[in-house]
Amino acid sequence: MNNLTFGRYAPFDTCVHRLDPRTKIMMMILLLVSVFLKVNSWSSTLITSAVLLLFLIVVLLISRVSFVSLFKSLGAMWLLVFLLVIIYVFIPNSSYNPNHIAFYIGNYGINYDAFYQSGYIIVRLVMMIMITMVLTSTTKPMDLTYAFEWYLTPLKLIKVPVHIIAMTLSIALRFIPTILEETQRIMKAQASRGVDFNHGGLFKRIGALISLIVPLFVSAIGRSEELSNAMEARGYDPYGKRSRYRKLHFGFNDLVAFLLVFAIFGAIVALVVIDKNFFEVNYIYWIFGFNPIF
Amino acid sequence: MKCIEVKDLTYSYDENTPVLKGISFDIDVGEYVSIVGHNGCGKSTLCKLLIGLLEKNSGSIVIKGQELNQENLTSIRNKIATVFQNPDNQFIGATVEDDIAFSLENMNTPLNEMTQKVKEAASKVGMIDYLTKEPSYLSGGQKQRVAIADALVREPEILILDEATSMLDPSGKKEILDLISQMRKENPSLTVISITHDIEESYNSDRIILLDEGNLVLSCSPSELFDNRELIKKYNLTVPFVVELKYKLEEIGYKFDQNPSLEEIGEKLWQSK
Ligand SMILES: Nc1ncnc2c1ncn2[C@@H]1O[C@H](COP(=O)(O)OP(=O)(O)OP(=O)(O)O)[C@@H](O)[C@H]1O
Ligand SMILES: [Mg+2]
Repeated sequence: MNNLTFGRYAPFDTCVHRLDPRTKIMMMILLLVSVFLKVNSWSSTLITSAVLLLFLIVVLLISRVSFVSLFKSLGAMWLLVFLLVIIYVFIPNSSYNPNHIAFYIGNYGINYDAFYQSGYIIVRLVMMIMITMVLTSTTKPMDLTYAFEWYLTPLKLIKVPVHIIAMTLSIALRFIPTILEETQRIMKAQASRGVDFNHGGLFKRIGALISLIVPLFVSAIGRSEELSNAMEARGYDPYGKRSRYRKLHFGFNDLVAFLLVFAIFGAIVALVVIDKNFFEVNYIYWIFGFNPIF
Repeated sequence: MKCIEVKDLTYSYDENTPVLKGISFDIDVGEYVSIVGHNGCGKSTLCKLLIGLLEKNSGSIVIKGQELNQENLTSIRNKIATVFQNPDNQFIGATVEDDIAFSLENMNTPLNEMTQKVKEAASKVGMIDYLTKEPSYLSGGQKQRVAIADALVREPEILILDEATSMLDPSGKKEILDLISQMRKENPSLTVISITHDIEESYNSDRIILLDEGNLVLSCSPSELFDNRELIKKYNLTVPFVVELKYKLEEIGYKFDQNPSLEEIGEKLWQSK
């Protein structure tokens, strides 16, 4: 169970860690939207992607997210990336400029645009992973639930029991390690009775899985009963008035961080809305020495 | 003054099998009572009835002069703190401090008061250095100490322990029992009800209540119980080490006063030879 490292909370004390989780969630949403907004021309796309990527790398460095685990999670996606490239390269697409043929395989022309397209998708995927990683590895899961609860507060007006949902969520989070531990214990117990989890055909494996899942459910249900008893015995009343031990605090740093991200977001939205090629200088020409597109 | 008065209490989970068959007993303020009995005789059921987690079939439960019912359930519950058996399944907060704060949140305590009380309780049980730790980093004994801190912070008049030490090793057990006797010293009016299979622990309590298949068969002081060897045999009880030793010595002709301690037995042996 130690391979669940992707985006796990890393207990450092950086300025990103100290930000209000609500700010971080809002920033994450803005950045994700920025990443997936489609800017019209290729040169603008290149510029905005470069700016975003650079910004994210800086954020990753500041928040001490490990690049190793980033590459690991990318490594887990190589198949997806590979398929993406294959699809883009070999499926004919009418939007490709027929004059931009890179080379021929037999007499099927491979288009430059296909490589740009798939490259762009991959870059966006990487950025998406970077953004979520920053959020989850700098914010405790519990703080995330507090933030979610805050964002969902308006739903109370239409009688959605937001605080109960949040309590349920936080208890689920609290019990994940306990249940994982239990899973390992049951697996060992079943293995000692001769159940083989790693070998055998499909049906044998399904049988093995059932011998894990059934006792796991039984114990989880037993747990939940004891837990609800303990909560009630300690005076928990879901509809009563409760004070809160954890208070979220929106500070000056939050404002600065938010404005920075909002500025980036705003710039990109403006670029999309105005829909004009601002970057007339032909960067692609500079990079490749020739221009296959324009 | 009576703290708890239980009269003709009956309960059954399903109609055909009564679990409690008409139990009556009183417990005084400040008393330390242990409830013993074999597995499945209804001890935990009794505990759940006392804190209103289950609703009785018939009989009455009076706590501090108030009859327990739906209306005063919350106010009576606030007088009682309960520590259950499994340390994992009563750890509700994400960290030690959140868990201790949980009870306070439920009582709508203001934040600054809460912070202070959490620290106080944590240092009393020796967990002040672990405030930000998550339960998976704690041992069973430490988790149970946090459960005691939860109980402390509720400032209860009655403390109920349902086999609170049965999943701990001897040193963890001793720590918890020491904490409880310290609580009792600091607050002599604290009533403690301890459900336990540990005969040594019940030997040190003020009174033993013995349940057998849903009936209360005995309520007397530990020395009275262990002086009566017929009773011990009849209910198939294990006896504490001192008592066992005393029995064995009596068989070979020694005579003792009611309740010798280990030292007194040693003294007697020393003098006699
Ligand atoms: N939730 C339940 N539903 C149905 N029957 C139950 C339930 N809980 C307990 N019982 C039954 O009630 C009886 C008394 O159970 P209880 O848990 O009170 O025993 P106990 O004295 O606490 O035992 P132990 O020493 O093992 O903790 C048992 O026969 C048990 O099978
Ligand atoms: Mg029990």
